[in-house]
Amino acid sequence: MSEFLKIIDLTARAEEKELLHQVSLEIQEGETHVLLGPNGAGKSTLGYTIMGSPEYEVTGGKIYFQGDDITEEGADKRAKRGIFLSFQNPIEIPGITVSNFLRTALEQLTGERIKLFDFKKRLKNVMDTLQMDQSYADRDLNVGFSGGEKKKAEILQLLMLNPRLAILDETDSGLDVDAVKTVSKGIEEFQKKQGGSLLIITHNAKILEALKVDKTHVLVDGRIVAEGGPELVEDVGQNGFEKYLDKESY
Amino acid sequence: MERIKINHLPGQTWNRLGMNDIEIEKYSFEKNLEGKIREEKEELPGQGIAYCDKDKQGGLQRGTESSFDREEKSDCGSALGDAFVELLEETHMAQVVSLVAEAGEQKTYRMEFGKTEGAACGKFDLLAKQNCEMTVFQYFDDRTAAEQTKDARSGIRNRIRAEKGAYIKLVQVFLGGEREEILNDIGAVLEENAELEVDQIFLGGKKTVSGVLAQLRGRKSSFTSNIAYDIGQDERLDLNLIAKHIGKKTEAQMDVKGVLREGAHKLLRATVDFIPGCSGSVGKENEEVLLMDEEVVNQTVPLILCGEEDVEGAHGASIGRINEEYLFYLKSRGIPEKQIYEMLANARIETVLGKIDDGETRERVMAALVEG
Ligand SMILES: Nc1ncnc2c1ncn2[C@@H]1O[C@H](COP(=O)(O)OP(=O)(O)O)[C@@H](O)[C@H]1O
Ligand SMILES: [Mg+2]
Repeated sequence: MSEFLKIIDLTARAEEKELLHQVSLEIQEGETHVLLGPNGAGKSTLGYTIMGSPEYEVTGGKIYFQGDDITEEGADKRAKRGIFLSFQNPIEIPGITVSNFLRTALEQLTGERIKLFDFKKRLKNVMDTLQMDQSYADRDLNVGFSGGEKKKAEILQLLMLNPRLAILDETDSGLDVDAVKTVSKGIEEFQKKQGGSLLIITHNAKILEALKVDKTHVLVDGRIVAEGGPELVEDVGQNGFEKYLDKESY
Repeated sequence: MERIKINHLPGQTWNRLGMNDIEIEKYSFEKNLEGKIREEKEELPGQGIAYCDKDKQGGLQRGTESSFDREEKSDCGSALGDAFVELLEETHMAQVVSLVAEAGEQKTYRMEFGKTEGAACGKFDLLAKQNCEMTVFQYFDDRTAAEQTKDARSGIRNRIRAEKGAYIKLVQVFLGGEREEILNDIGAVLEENAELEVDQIFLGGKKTVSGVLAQLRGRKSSFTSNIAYDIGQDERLDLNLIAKHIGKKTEAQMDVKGVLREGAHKLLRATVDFIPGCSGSVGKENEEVLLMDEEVVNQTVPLILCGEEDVEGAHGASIGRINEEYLFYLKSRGIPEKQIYEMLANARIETVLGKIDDGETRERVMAALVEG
């Protein structure tokens, strides 16, 4: 098996400002990586760029997925390859119910029609896992959802769409203790049962407790400044980003 | 060419940006709108639905005689206004199709209008007697028209009377094509506990001027309206919805959902008129528009006229735009751009189809949506 996700010297900008500088990162299939960094470091920018957001222009470097160069590909094509981004701020979609949206997305991803009965059954199961009330299936996606409900709805999409690689952008921020537990369970299910690979952006070690972390990356000012194993999460948790910031100013 | 103003906003003081009414060319109707009518009978349970075409059998009254007397006719009122009513009345050849549901009966009628040339009119008198249930479907489908409908103009008027406890549902589907202009007028009077539901779908259509006037005269009478539209380049839709609360504890709920594509022009007047004495009444209007492009004209005049204190009136509106962020979110779930636009547009129509809850209507509309 060749490499899974490979990012080489990725440089990206928005509105004339360079936000990512020669970022390189590699994830093998089935691995779970953690991306840490202070506010404004460019973590979301990296997630968006891997997903193919038109907001960011790639001015250098390449993104490969399962051996193919996807640097210039549209987001829908990347999704079809199995890349998924859980948004830090999910968008409200009036007029489209959660249920209809998921069914349309699934049909687009698989290219097959899906039987309503099978779909409903699966949706119910996943919603139960996430302790979401069934009534949410018939509500417009994210419309009037609280911050926590939006995050749960992202994980619902993750589990229903079953991608190969999921980038989770602060999916645990703004959740209460119980919700963090439920969401972690969902992520664990994705990792263990569905065999998915993960790039988790977080400020909170709690969500990582039940997960086996393979590698950690620290991003500061659009640069990867440190890499290590799961112990790096603990280190940053205790000491913050200070030493990396210092390094910058020398 | 002489011009007339129709589809007026009630309440004379408003005069801004020419949104009070719409000006059209004055012309005479030369003929009756041709179409088919069938009554749908529910037979024994489990045996399905049998259709009988009564068009030629005289089962339906079609002639110059209405089931309404003179007074009742004018009493129904008009949303498009006097100038339009005069146009119709001037046409001596205009026939009336009268549909009646007797007390306690359940009746469903389907009418289908395809081919049109020149200026044709259709007049329909719907009489729902006490405690009956009457459902009328009217399909105006330019797509099934065998002949070119270029330069065709149609004037349609439904006069509705709902007696005590009657329930009447009028579903109108307009699938636009080459037809130049449609003027569609509904005027209704409701007695005590009567219910009127008007559901309309407008897909395309060069110029459509449509109005509903519901006079909630009887105590606890109610009016609901579910309207969806999807219009684009050089298409114009002018809507005028008026709920006139006269009786006590009357209710009105008007929901309009629509999609405006590049070059479309929509104007919605939605009026809740609380007449003195209508205490305990509730009137609500809600609009949801999706703007698919920047180049659209989207106008709305919500109006709540309060001649009574003990009432509840509400107006809600939301305008959705498809921006980059929104597109990216949906694309990141594997849905290509073209599908996203269609999904969002169709969702509006779907909601109203859900309310109409009828297989044949759904099939017709979905076929038109698929054709694009
Ligand atoms: N579209 C944009 N245009 C201009 N600047 C942007 C844009 N998106 C993000 N930025 C800037 O890039 C930096 C990194 O942002 P972001 O990736 O959101 O950081 P993080 O997720 O690590 O907190 C910030 O300084 C932010 O203001
Ligand atoms: Mg961020």
